[in-house]
Amino acid sequence: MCLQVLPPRTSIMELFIAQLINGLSAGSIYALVALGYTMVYGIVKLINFAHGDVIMVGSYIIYFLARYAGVPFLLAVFLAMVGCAILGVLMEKVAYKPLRNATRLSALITAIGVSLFLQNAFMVAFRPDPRPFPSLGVEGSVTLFGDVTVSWLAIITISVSALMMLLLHLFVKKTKMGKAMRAVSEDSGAASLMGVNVNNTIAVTFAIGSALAAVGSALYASTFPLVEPFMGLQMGLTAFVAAVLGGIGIIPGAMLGGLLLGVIESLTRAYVSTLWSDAVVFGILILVLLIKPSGLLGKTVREKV
Amino acid sequence: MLRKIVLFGMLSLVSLVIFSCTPGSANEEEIRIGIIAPLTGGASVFGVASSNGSRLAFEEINERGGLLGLPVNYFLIDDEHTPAVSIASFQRLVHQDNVIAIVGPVTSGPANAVGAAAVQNRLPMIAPTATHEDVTSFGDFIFRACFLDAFQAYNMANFAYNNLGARTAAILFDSGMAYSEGLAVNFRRYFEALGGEIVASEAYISGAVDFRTQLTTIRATDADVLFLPDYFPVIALMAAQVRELGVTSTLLGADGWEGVFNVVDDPSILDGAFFSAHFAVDYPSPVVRAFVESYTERFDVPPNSFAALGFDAAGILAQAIEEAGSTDNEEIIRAMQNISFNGVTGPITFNDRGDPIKELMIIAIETNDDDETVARLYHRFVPE
Repeated sequence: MCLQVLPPRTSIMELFIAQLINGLSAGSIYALVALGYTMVYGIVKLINFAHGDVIMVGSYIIYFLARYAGVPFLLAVFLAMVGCAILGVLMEKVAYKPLRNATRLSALITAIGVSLFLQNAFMVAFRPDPRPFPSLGVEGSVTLFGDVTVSWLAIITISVSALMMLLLHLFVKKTKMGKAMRAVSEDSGAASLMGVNVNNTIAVTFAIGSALAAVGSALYASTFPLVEPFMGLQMGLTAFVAAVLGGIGIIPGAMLGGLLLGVIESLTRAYVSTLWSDAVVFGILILVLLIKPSGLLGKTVREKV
Repeated sequence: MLRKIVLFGMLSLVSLVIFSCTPGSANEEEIRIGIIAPLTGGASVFGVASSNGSRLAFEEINERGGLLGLPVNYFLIDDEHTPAVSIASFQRLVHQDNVIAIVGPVTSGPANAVGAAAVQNRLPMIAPTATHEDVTSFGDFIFRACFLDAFQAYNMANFAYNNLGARTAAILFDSGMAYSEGLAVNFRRYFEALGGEIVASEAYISGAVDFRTQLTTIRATDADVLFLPDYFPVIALMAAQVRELGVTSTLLGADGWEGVFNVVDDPSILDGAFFSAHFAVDYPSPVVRAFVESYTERFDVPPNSFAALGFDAAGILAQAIEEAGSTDNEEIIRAMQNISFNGVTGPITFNDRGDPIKELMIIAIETNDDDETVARLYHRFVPE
């Protein structure tokens, strides 16, 4: 049953590195989810509170496909990406598009409404009982040096997140659609005049953000293997904080914010108090916003008159 | 004149209301018993199982000819796991349905509310599964069928130290939940009293899903046992992370673990763990075999601890009525105090507080010869 044994006296340094790895593993999932918040905010200035619930939907899709339809895990994840992308586009078309020119507050409240709708619809449809997420079947760990080991699950989580972020970065920087996204983000009116199809661009943004959330749900639920209707709530909130911390609307900011948040959480629990981790996380958020309101990587844009 | 007619009308209406509310005389043709359980709301899973157990007990009693030669008629009311609703259910059972005794409430919050409200009535009450310390503190008319949390913690510490030979223990508990924290505090106290050492005591907040930081700290202590006093969904999350991090301590749990097999994809991650329980389906007794068979046949699912405690609570009350030879509340209370009941959760007698003196089961999770992970009755703590 035992996979590896740490000798009783693990050195302080080794323990610190182990906690750092725990933080990076959690943080890379936060980062992946934070990307969804930041992309949508960057392009339509909307905080999509239902984004956390897309993770919940993705987990249910993988759960049902893998457990009841016998679909292999990776294929199930791919189908969940497709399913979530469709859900994201649908959400945008039904709930957000009609409000695109409404006040920000109306859009925000609509987003909360969509979130509550998804949670409760799933609760009614599938009951609130938690369900066991299919295990990835990845076990064991690698010894880095000395007594420091990293589980394969953490390695997979961190590398898949990194790969997804790299692909997104390349997509935004190198493709035509990526260029259109940047253009709409900067000035949708001007982009429209230059022949960019703003509606399509926004739809694609929602689709990509939601597909990334589906990958996030596979990683999240593999690490925390329970699927239930409200699982996206806390995760979504934490990822949102990560996005704001890094600078909402800025893609590298979401990555930095997510990783930072995961590490801060882990180290606070290990060296300050397990009960204070949320307080420390939100305290740091408030501090960053006081000193640099646009987030760590945010640029202050001056409005020209 | 008109005013007089209106006044007369109102008076007669008021008197009608008053008289219809007056408790009627006890029905002589049947034994009326109330069951209060949360059939909807957050605790419905427990309430349905517990009340099903009680219903089965009364149905079987009727098949055998009833109590004192009269059939039992039970009145099942949903308290929605809400104290206010449970008090209303109690009032209805007393004043409208004229019950002579109550099985319930199932959960501690409503049980405490009903206990406080029932002091004047002195209606014999037995709560099947309410483990909170105060439940039986409202008077000698209240009993319960389940053991208390401190008793569980005591026996788990005893089991760890004496049966497993553990000398170092770690605890990981929810600091925001009375159940979890109470078990953690008591386990620590008893384990230390036995001479063991608590090498790590780590907390988390309710709703947390990531325990890897705490488990990494615990792993470094290399404790012999790791006590995890929480409910099964949390245990499912912890077991996966224990496996991921390669924590080697033997996992120990409490009655909240029951049902954990339903929420883990691969039960083998719990292989080697032990938890305390009220009931074991493989308890070596013909009473238990018969109960498991008839419950499974009646409700299409095997009974759990809640069902077993609901069954025993109803059985205790029925035996007390039979031994009292009367439906008088004081006679029934006296019979309950002196009862010696052979239940599906083991033999039961009561102490002065109305709390049961009974056995505690230790369930082991292990791999059988067919390479399946199973739960099996491993050890029983029998009261002296």
